[in-house]
Amino acid sequence: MAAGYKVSSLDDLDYWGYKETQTGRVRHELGITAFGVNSWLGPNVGDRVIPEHAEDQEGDQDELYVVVRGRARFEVGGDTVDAPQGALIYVPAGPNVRTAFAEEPGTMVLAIGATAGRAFEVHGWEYWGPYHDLWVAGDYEGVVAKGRESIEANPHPMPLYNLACCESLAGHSEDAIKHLGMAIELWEDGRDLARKDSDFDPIRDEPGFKELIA
Amino acid sequence: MSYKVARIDEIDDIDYRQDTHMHPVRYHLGISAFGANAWTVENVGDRLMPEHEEDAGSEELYVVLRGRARFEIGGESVDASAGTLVFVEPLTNRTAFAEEAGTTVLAIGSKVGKAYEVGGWEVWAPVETLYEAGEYEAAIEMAGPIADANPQYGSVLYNLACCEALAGRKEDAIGHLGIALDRRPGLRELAREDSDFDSVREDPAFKELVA
Repeated sequence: MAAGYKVSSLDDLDYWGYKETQTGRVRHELGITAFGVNSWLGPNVGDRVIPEHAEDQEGDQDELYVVVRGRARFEVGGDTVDAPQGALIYVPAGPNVRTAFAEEPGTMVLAIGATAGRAFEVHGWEYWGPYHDLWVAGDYEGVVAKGRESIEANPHPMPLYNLACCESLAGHSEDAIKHLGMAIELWEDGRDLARKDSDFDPIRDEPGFKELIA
Repeated sequence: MSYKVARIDEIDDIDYRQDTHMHPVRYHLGISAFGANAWTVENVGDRLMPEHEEDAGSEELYVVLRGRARFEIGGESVDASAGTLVFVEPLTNRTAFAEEAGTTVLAIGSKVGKAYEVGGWEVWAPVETLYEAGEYEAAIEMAGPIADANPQYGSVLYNLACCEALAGRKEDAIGHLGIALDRRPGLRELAREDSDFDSVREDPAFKELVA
Protein backbone atom coordinates (compact mmCIF):
# COMPACT_ATOMS: atom_id res chain seq x y z
CA MET A 1 0.00 0.00 0.00
CA ALA A 2 2.66 2.45 -1.07
CA ALA A 3 0.25 5.30 -1.73
CA GLY A 4 -1.26 5.08 1.74
CA TYR A 5 -4.66 3.83 0.68
CA LYS A 6 -6.50 0.89 -0.83
CA VAL A 7 -9.75 0.79 -2.76
CA SER A 8 -12.19 -2.06 -3.27
CA SER A 9 -15.88 -2.46 -3.92
CA LEU A 10 -18.55 -4.43 -2.13
CA ASP A 11 -19.28 -5.95 -5.56
CA ASP A 12 -15.71 -7.13 -6.17
CA LEU A 13 -15.29 -9.12 -2.95
CA ASP A 14 -15.40 -12.92 -2.99
CA TYR A 15 -18.50 -14.01 -1.11
CA TRP A 16 -18.20 -17.36 0.63
CA GLY A 17 -20.80 -19.46 2.40
CA TYR A 18 -21.00 -19.36 6.17
CA LYS A 19 -23.91 -20.75 8.19
CA GLU A 20 -26.58 -20.24 5.47
CA THR A 21 -25.16 -16.82 4.61
CA GLN A 22 -22.70 -15.30 2.14
CA THR A 23 -20.02 -13.02 3.46
CA GLY A 24 -17.11 -10.98 2.06
CA ARG A 25 -13.91 -10.17 3.94
CA VAL A 26 -13.67 -6.39 3.92
CA ARG A 27 -11.16 -6.10 6.78
CA HIS A 28 -8.86 -8.70 5.27
CA GLU A 29 -9.07 -7.42 1.68
CA LEU A 30 -8.20 -3.87 2.69
CA GLY A 31 -5.63 -4.75 5.36
CA ILE A 32 -7.53 -3.05 8.20
CA THR A 33 -6.22 -3.93 11.67
CA ALA A 34 -7.95 -1.42 13.97
CA PHE A 35 -11.51 -2.85 13.81
CA GLY A 36 -13.44 -5.70 12.24
CA VAL A 37 -15.63 -5.26 9.16
CA ASN A 38 -17.34 -7.72 6.83
CA SER A 39 -20.11 -7.51 4.27
CA TRP A 40 -23.07 -9.87 3.98
CA LEU A 41 -25.01 -10.52 0.82
CA GLY A 42 -28.55 -11.80 0.30
CA PRO A 43 -29.09 -12.37 -3.45
CA ASN A 44 -32.73 -13.41 -3.01
CA VAL A 45 -35.66 -12.29 -0.89
CA GLY A 46 -35.74 -14.39 2.27
CA ASP A 47 -32.00 -15.17 2.26
CA ARG A 48 -30.39 -14.91 5.66
CA VAL A 49 -27.85 -12.07 5.66
CA ILE A 50 -26.57 -12.22 9.25
CA PRO A 51 -26.04 -15.57 11.01
CA GLU A 52 -28.13 -15.96 14.13
CA HIS A 53 -25.81 -15.31 17.06
CA ALA A 54 -25.22 -13.43 20.30
CA GLU A 55 -22.04 -11.60 21.27
CA ASP A 56 -22.26 -12.74 24.87
CA GLN A 57 -18.84 -14.18 25.70
CA GLU A 58 -15.96 -12.40 27.43
CA GLY A 59 -14.31 -10.13 24.87
CA ASP A 60 -17.20 -10.28 22.39
CA GLN A 61 -17.87 -7.29 20.21
CA ASP A 62 -20.22 -4.34 19.94
CA GLU A 63 -21.60 -4.53 16.40
CA LEU A 64 -22.98 -1.94 14.01
CA TYR A 65 -24.95 -3.17 11.00
CA VAL A 66 -25.42 -0.83 8.05
CA VAL A 67 -27.89 -1.65 5.29
CA VAL A 68 -25.95 -0.59 2.22
CA ARG A 69 -28.38 -1.87 -0.41
CA GLY A 70 -31.88 -3.29 -0.61
CA ARG A 71 -33.87 -3.84 2.56
CA ALA A 72 -33.40 -6.20 5.48
CA ARG A 73 -35.57 -7.53 8.28
CA PHE A 74 -33.58 -7.73 11.48
CA GLU A 75 -34.61 -9.86 14.42
CA VAL A 76 -32.94 -8.57 17.57
CA GLY A 77 -33.69 -9.84 21.06
CA GLY A 78 -37.13 -11.04 19.94
CA ASP A 79 -38.04 -7.77 18.17
CA THR A 80 -38.50 -7.37 14.42
CA VAL A 81 -36.87 -4.30 12.87
CA ASP A 82 -37.54 -3.12 9.31
CA ALA A 83 -34.24 -1.86 7.94
CA PRO A 84 -34.29 -0.11 4.55
CA GLN A 85 -31.20 1.16 2.74
CA GLY A 86 -29.33 3.57 5.01
CA ALA A 87 -30.56 1.96 8.25
CA LEU A 88 -28.11 1.62 11.14
CA ILE A 89 -28.66 -1.13 13.73
CA TYR A 90 -26.34 -1.02 16.71
CA VAL A 91 -26.22 -4.06 18.99
CA PRO A 92 -23.73 -3.84 21.86
CA ALA A 93 -22.16 -6.98 23.27
CA GLY A 94 -24.65 -8.82 25.45
CA PRO A 95 -27.23 -11.57 25.44
CA ASN A 96 -29.25 -10.24 22.48
CA VAL A 97 -29.60 -12.89 19.80
CA ARG A 98 -29.70 -11.24 16.40
CA THR A 99 -30.11 -12.29 12.77
CA ALA A 100 -31.36 -10.68 9.54
CA PHE A 101 -33.03 -11.63 6.27
CA ALA A 102 -33.13 -9.96 2.85
CA GLU A 103 -36.44 -8.33 2.01
CA GLU A 104 -35.27 -7.28 -1.46
CA PRO A 105 -33.02 -9.07 -3.97
CA GLY A 106 -29.35 -8.12 -3.69
CA THR A 107 -29.59 -6.84 -0.12
CA MET A 108 -26.21 -6.02 1.32
CA VAL A 109 -25.35 -5.38 4.98
CA LEU A 110 -22.04 -4.14 6.32
CA ALA A 111 -21.12 -5.32 9.83
CA ILE A 112 -18.54 -3.40 11.86
CA GLY A 113 -17.30 -4.69 15.19
CA ALA A 114 -14.81 -4.18 17.99
CA THR A 115 -14.61 -4.79 21.72
CA ALA A 116 -15.11 -1.73 23.93
CA GLY A 117 -12.09 -0.96 26.08
CA ARG A 118 -9.76 -3.31 24.24
CA ALA A 119 -7.35 -3.03 21.37
CA PHE A 120 -8.69 -4.86 18.31
CA GLU A 121 -6.96 -8.18 17.63
CA VAL A 122 -7.10 -10.09 14.39
CA HIS A 123 -8.00 -13.61 15.49
CA GLY A 124 -8.52 -14.74 11.94
CA TRP A 125 -12.20 -15.60 12.10
CA GLU A 126 -12.47 -14.85 8.38
CA TYR A 127 -9.90 -17.53 7.57
CA TRP A 128 -11.72 -20.22 9.49
CA GLY A 129 -15.24 -19.31 8.39
CA PRO A 130 -15.13 -21.04 4.97
CA TYR A 131 -14.47 -24.43 6.65
CA HIS A 132 -16.87 -24.05 9.54
CA ASP A 133 -19.68 -25.99 7.88
CA LEU A 134 -17.37 -28.91 7.01
CA TRP A 135 -16.18 -28.98 10.61
CA VAL A 136 -19.75 -29.02 11.96
CA ALA A 137 -20.56 -31.88 9.58
CA GLY A 138 -17.61 -33.87 10.97
CA ASP A 139 -15.76 -33.80 7.63
CA TYR A 140 -12.32 -33.29 9.18
CA GLU A 141 -10.50 -34.61 6.12
CA GLY A 142 -12.46 -32.08 4.07
CA VAL A 143 -11.28 -29.23 6.30
CA VAL A 144 -7.67 -30.40 5.98
CA ALA A 145 -7.89 -30.85 2.19
CA LYS A 146 -9.57 -27.50 1.52
CA GLY A 147 -8.28 -25.34 4.34
CA ARG A 148 -4.69 -26.21 5.12
CA GLU A 149 -3.03 -24.17 2.39
CA SER A 150 -5.00 -20.97 3.04
CA ILE A 151 -4.75 -21.24 6.84
CA GLU A 152 -0.98 -21.73 6.68
CA ALA A 153 -0.65 -18.78 4.29
CA ASN A 154 -2.59 -16.51 6.70
CA PRO A 155 -1.35 -17.68 10.08
CA HIS A 156 -3.82 -16.60 12.76
CA PRO A 157 -4.43 -18.39 16.04
CA MET A 158 -8.08 -19.37 15.69
CA PRO A 159 -7.92 -21.06 12.27
CA LEU A 160 -4.59 -22.74 13.12
CA TYR A 161 -5.99 -24.11 16.36
CA ASN A 162 -9.13 -25.40 14.67
CA LEU A 163 -7.13 -26.93 11.83
CA ALA A 164 -5.04 -28.77 14.44
CA CYS A 165 -8.25 -30.09 16.03
CA CYS A 166 -9.41 -31.45 12.67
CA GLU A 167 -6.01 -33.02 11.95
CA SER A 168 -5.99 -34.66 15.37
CA LEU A 169 -9.50 -36.04 14.82
CA ALA A 170 -8.59 -37.23 11.31
CA GLY A 171 -5.49 -39.06 12.59
CA HIS A 172 -2.82 -36.68 11.21
CA SER A 173 -0.86 -36.47 14.47
CA GLU A 174 2.24 -34.76 13.16
CA ASP A 175 0.34 -32.02 11.33
CA ALA A 176 -1.90 -31.47 14.34
CA ILE A 177 1.10 -30.94 16.63
CA LYS A 178 2.74 -28.60 14.11
CA HIS A 179 -0.32 -26.39 13.68
CA LEU A 180 -1.21 -26.38 17.38
CA GLY A 181 2.36 -25.25 18.05
CA MET A 182 1.96 -22.38 15.57
CA ALA A 183 -1.35 -21.40 17.19
CA ILE A 184 0.07 -21.40 20.74
CA GLU A 185 3.03 -19.33 19.63
CA LEU A 186 0.61 -16.59 18.56
CA TRP A 187 -1.92 -17.12 21.32
CA GLU A 188 -0.79 -18.26 24.75
CA ASP A 189 -4.38 -19.04 25.87
CA GLY A 190 -4.48 -21.81 23.29
CA ARG A 191 -2.23 -23.92 25.52
CA ASP A 192 -4.79 -24.00 28.33
CA LEU A 193 -7.60 -24.70 25.93
CA ALA A 194 -5.70 -27.59 24.31
CA ARG A 195 -5.10 -29.23 27.70
CA LYS A 196 -8.83 -29.74 28.16
CA ASP A 197 -9.97 -30.04 24.54
CA SER A 198 -11.22 -33.54 23.76
CA ASP A 199 -10.47 -32.94 20.06
CA PHE A 200 -6.86 -33.67 21.02
CA ASP A 201 -7.62 -36.98 22.75
CA PRO A 202 -6.23 -38.95 19.77
CA ILE A 203 -2.80 -37.31 20.20
CA ARG A 204 -2.82 -36.73 23.96
CA ASP A 205 -0.09 -39.32 24.58
CA GLU A 206 2.19 -38.12 21.79
CA PRO A 207 5.43 -36.69 23.23
CA GLY A 208 5.20 -33.68 20.90
CA PHE A 209 1.73 -32.82 22.22
CA LYS A 210 2.78 -33.29 25.85
CA GLU A 211 5.66 -30.93 25.30
CA LEU A 212 3.40 -28.26 23.78
CA ILE A 213 0.94 -28.19 26.67
CA ALA A 214 3.52 -28.64 29.43
CA MET B 1 -29.11 -0.54 26.18
CA SER B 2 -30.12 -3.67 24.34
CA TYR B 3 -29.96 -2.23 20.81
CA LYS B 4 -30.61 0.99 18.93
CA VAL B 5 -31.84 1.73 15.42
CA ALA B 6 -31.47 4.89 13.34
CA ARG B 7 -31.28 6.16 9.78
CA ILE B 8 -28.50 8.49 8.76
CA ASP B 9 -31.02 11.03 7.48
CA GLU B 10 -32.67 11.13 10.91
CA ILE B 11 -29.44 12.02 12.71
CA ASP B 12 -29.16 15.84 12.71
CA ASP B 13 -26.08 16.99 10.84
CA ILE B 14 -23.50 19.35 12.27
CA ASP B 15 -21.93 22.12 10.18
CA TYR B 16 -18.24 21.37 10.27
CA ARG B 17 -15.01 22.72 8.81
CA GLN B 18 -14.67 23.55 5.13
CA ASP B 19 -18.46 23.69 4.69
CA THR B 20 -19.02 20.01 5.40
CA HIS B 21 -21.98 18.30 7.08
CA MET B 22 -21.36 15.52 9.54
CA HIS B 23 -23.94 13.18 11.08
CA PRO B 24 -22.55 11.94 14.42
CA VAL B 25 -23.41 8.24 14.11
CA ARG B 26 -21.23 6.97 16.98
CA TYR B 27 -22.52 9.60 19.38
CA HIS B 28 -26.15 9.13 18.36
CA LEU B 29 -26.07 5.36 18.78
CA GLY B 30 -23.86 5.34 21.89
CA ILE B 31 -21.08 3.28 20.34
CA SER B 32 -17.86 3.13 22.38
CA ALA B 33 -15.74 0.49 20.61
CA PHE B 34 -14.98 2.40 17.38
CA GLY B 35 -15.69 5.72 15.71
CA ALA B 36 -18.40 6.20 13.05
CA ASN B 37 -19.74 9.30 11.32
CA ALA B 38 -21.61 9.94 8.09
CA TRP B 39 -20.96 12.82 5.71
CA THR B 40 -23.63 14.14 3.37
CA VAL B 41 -23.88 16.88 0.75
CA GLU B 42 -26.68 18.53 -1.18
CA ASN B 43 -25.01 19.44 -4.45
CA VAL B 44 -22.53 18.12 -6.98
CA GLY B 45 -19.06 19.49 -6.27
CA ASP B 46 -19.70 20.02 -2.54
CA ARG B 47 -16.96 18.84 -0.23
CA LEU B 48 -17.91 15.69 1.67
CA MET B 49 -15.24 15.71 4.35
CA PRO B 50 -12.58 18.19 5.39
CA GLU B 51 -9.11 17.75 3.98
CA HIS B 52 -7.08 16.17 6.79
CA GLU B 53 -4.58 13.58 7.90
CA GLU B 54 -5.21 11.09 10.69
CA ASP B 55 -2.69 10.67 13.51
CA ALA B 56 -0.22 7.79 13.61
CA GLY B 57 -2.10 4.53 14.10
CA SER B 58 -5.54 5.89 13.18
CA GLU B 59 -7.10 3.84 10.39
CA GLU B 60 -10.19 5.03 8.54
CA LEU B 61 -12.54 3.20 6.20
CA TYR B 62 -14.91 5.20 4.00
CA VAL B 63 -17.95 3.48 2.50
CA VAL B 64 -19.92 5.24 -0.23
CA LEU B 65 -23.53 4.49 0.71
CA ARG B 66 -25.27 6.68 -1.86
CA GLY B 67 -24.36 8.68 -4.96
CA ARG B 68 -20.80 9.00 -6.17
CA ALA B 69 -17.72 10.61 -4.66
CA ARG B 70 -14.31 11.70 -5.88
CA PHE B 71 -11.68 11.09 -3.23
CA GLU B 72 -8.37 12.89 -3.29
CA ILE B 73 -5.82 10.91 -1.35
CA GLY B 74 -2.13 11.70 -1.15
CA GLY B 75 -2.32 13.62 -4.43
CA GLU B 76 -4.25 10.91 -6.30
CA SER B 77 -7.86 10.99 -7.44
CA VAL B 78 -10.18 8.03 -6.80
CA ASP B 79 -13.60 7.66 -8.38
CA ALA B 80 -15.94 6.00 -5.89
CA SER B 81 -19.46 4.95 -6.83
CA ALA B 82 -21.97 3.60 -4.29
CA GLY B 83 -20.58 0.43 -2.73
CA THR B 84 -16.95 1.51 -2.98
CA LEU B 85 -14.71 0.93 0.03
CA VAL B 86 -11.82 3.33 0.50
CA PHE B 87 -9.35 2.49 3.25
CA VAL B 88 -6.87 5.25 4.10
CA GLU B 89 -3.78 4.71 6.22
CA PRO B 90 -2.76 7.10 8.98
CA LEU B 91 -0.71 10.21 8.12
CA THR B 92 -2.14 10.31 4.60
CA ASN B 93 -3.85 13.46 3.39
CA ARG B 94 -7.42 12.88 2.22
CA THR B 95 -10.61 14.67 1.26
CA ALA B 96 -13.64 13.92 -0.97
CA PHE B 97 -16.15 15.75 -3.14
CA ALA B 98 -19.63 14.73 -4.31
CA GLU B 99 -20.02 13.81 -7.96
CA GLU B 100 -23.77 13.36 -7.52
CA ALA B 101 -26.34 15.27 -5.47
CA GLY B 102 -27.17 13.59 -2.15
CA THR B 103 -23.95 11.59 -1.92
CA THR B 104 -23.48 9.94 1.49
CA VAL B 105 -20.24 8.50 2.87
CA LEU B 106 -19.90 6.55 6.10
CA ALA B 107 -16.54 6.86 7.87
CA ILE B 108 -15.40 4.25 10.41
CA GLY B 109 -12.22 4.57 12.41
CA SER B 110 -10.10 3.34 15.28
CA LYS B 111 -6.49 3.05 16.39
CA VAL B 112 -4.29 0.06 15.67
CA GLY B 113 -3.26 -1.81 18.81
CA LYS B 114 -5.18 0.48 21.17
CA ALA B 115 -8.59 0.37 22.75
CA TYR B 116 -10.84 2.97 21.15
CA GLU B 117 -11.15 6.09 23.29
CA VAL B 118 -14.26 8.22 23.06
CA GLY B 119 -12.86 11.72 22.91
CA GLY B 120 -16.06 13.53 22.09
CA TRP B 121 -14.75 14.99 18.85
CA GLU B 122 -18.25 15.00 17.33
CA VAL B 123 -19.63 16.87 20.29
CA TRP B 124 -17.03 19.59 19.87
CA ALA B 125 -17.43 19.75 16.08
CA PRO B 126 -20.04 22.57 15.97
CA VAL B 127 -17.62 24.86 17.83
CA GLU B 128 -14.62 24.08 15.65
CA THR B 129 -15.30 26.72 12.98
CA LEU B 130 -15.49 29.48 15.62
CA TYR B 131 -12.23 28.26 17.14
CA GLU B 132 -10.53 28.23 13.75
CA ALA B 133 -11.81 31.75 13.01
CA GLY B 134 -10.24 32.97 16.26
CA GLU B 135 -13.63 33.85 17.74
CA TYR B 136 -12.76 32.48 21.15
CA GLU B 137 -15.41 34.31 23.17
CA ALA B 138 -18.15 33.07 20.85
CA ALA B 139 -16.64 29.57 20.98
CA ILE B 140 -16.66 29.64 24.80
CA GLU B 141 -20.28 30.73 24.83
CA MET B 142 -21.27 27.90 22.50
CA ALA B 143 -19.05 25.26 24.14
CA GLY B 144 -20.13 25.90 27.75
CA PRO B 145 -23.52 24.17 27.53
CA ILE B 146 -22.02 21.40 25.36
CA ALA B 147 -19.36 20.67 27.98
CA ASP B 148 -21.98 20.76 30.76
CA ALA B 149 -24.20 18.31 28.88
CA ASN B 150 -21.30 15.94 28.07
CA PRO B 151 -19.08 15.92 31.16
CA GLN B 152 -17.64 12.51 30.23
CA TYR B 153 -15.76 13.88 27.19
CA GLY B 154 -12.25 15.01 28.05
CA SER B 155 -11.53 16.46 24.62
CA VAL B 156 -14.46 18.86 24.79
CA LEU B 157 -13.23 20.29 28.10
CA TYR B 158 -9.69 20.42 26.75
CA ASN B 159 -10.75 22.43 23.72
CA LEU B 160 -12.86 24.72 25.88
CA ALA B 161 -9.80 25.32 28.07
CA CYS B 162 -7.79 26.19 24.92
CA CYS B 163 -10.37 28.82 23.93
CA GLU B 164 -10.39 30.23 27.46
CA ALA B 165 -6.60 30.47 27.56
CA LEU B 166 -6.64 32.20 24.16
CA ALA B 167 -9.35 34.61 25.35
CA GLY B 168 -7.32 35.49 28.44
CA ARG B 169 -9.63 33.72 30.90
CA LYS B 170 -6.81 32.04 32.78
CA GLU B 171 -8.66 30.71 35.79
CA ASP B 172 -11.40 29.12 33.69
CA ALA B 173 -8.79 27.61 31.39
CA ILE B 174 -6.87 25.97 34.22
CA GLY B 175 -10.08 24.74 35.85
CA HIS B 176 -11.37 23.06 32.68
CA LEU B 177 -7.95 21.70 31.71
CA GLY B 178 -7.72 20.05 35.11
CA ILE B 179 -11.02 18.22 34.60
CA ALA B 180 -10.05 17.33 31.03
CA LEU B 181 -6.79 15.72 32.17
CA ASP B 182 -8.67 13.76 34.83
CA ARG B 183 -10.90 12.32 32.12
CA ARG B 184 -8.16 11.75 29.55
CA PRO B 185 -4.68 11.68 31.09
CA GLY B 186 -3.31 11.05 27.61
CA LEU B 187 -3.94 14.73 26.81
CA ARG B 188 -1.33 15.87 29.33
CA GLU B 189 1.47 15.47 26.83
CA LEU B 190 -0.44 17.51 24.26
CA ALA B 191 -1.09 20.29 26.80
CA ARG B 192 2.63 20.60 27.57
CA GLU B 193 3.38 21.64 24.00
CA ASP B 194 0.09 23.18 22.92
CA SER B 195 0.68 26.84 22.03
CA ASP B 196 -2.99 27.54 22.85
CA PHE B 197 -1.86 27.51 26.49
CA ASP B 198 1.02 29.97 26.05
CA SER B 199 -0.84 32.63 28.07
CA VAL B 200 -1.01 30.35 31.14
CA ARG B 201 2.24 28.46 30.67
CA GLU B 202 4.05 30.26 33.48
CA ASP B 203 1.13 29.96 35.89
CA PRO B 204 2.08 27.64 38.80
CA ALA B 205 -1.32 25.90 38.64
CA PHE B 206 -0.77 25.10 34.95
CA LYS B 207 2.75 23.85 35.61
CA GLU B 208 1.40 21.55 38.30
CA LEU B 209 -1.30 20.18 35.98
CA VAL B 210 1.08 19.23 33.18
CA ALA B 211 3.94 18.07 35.40
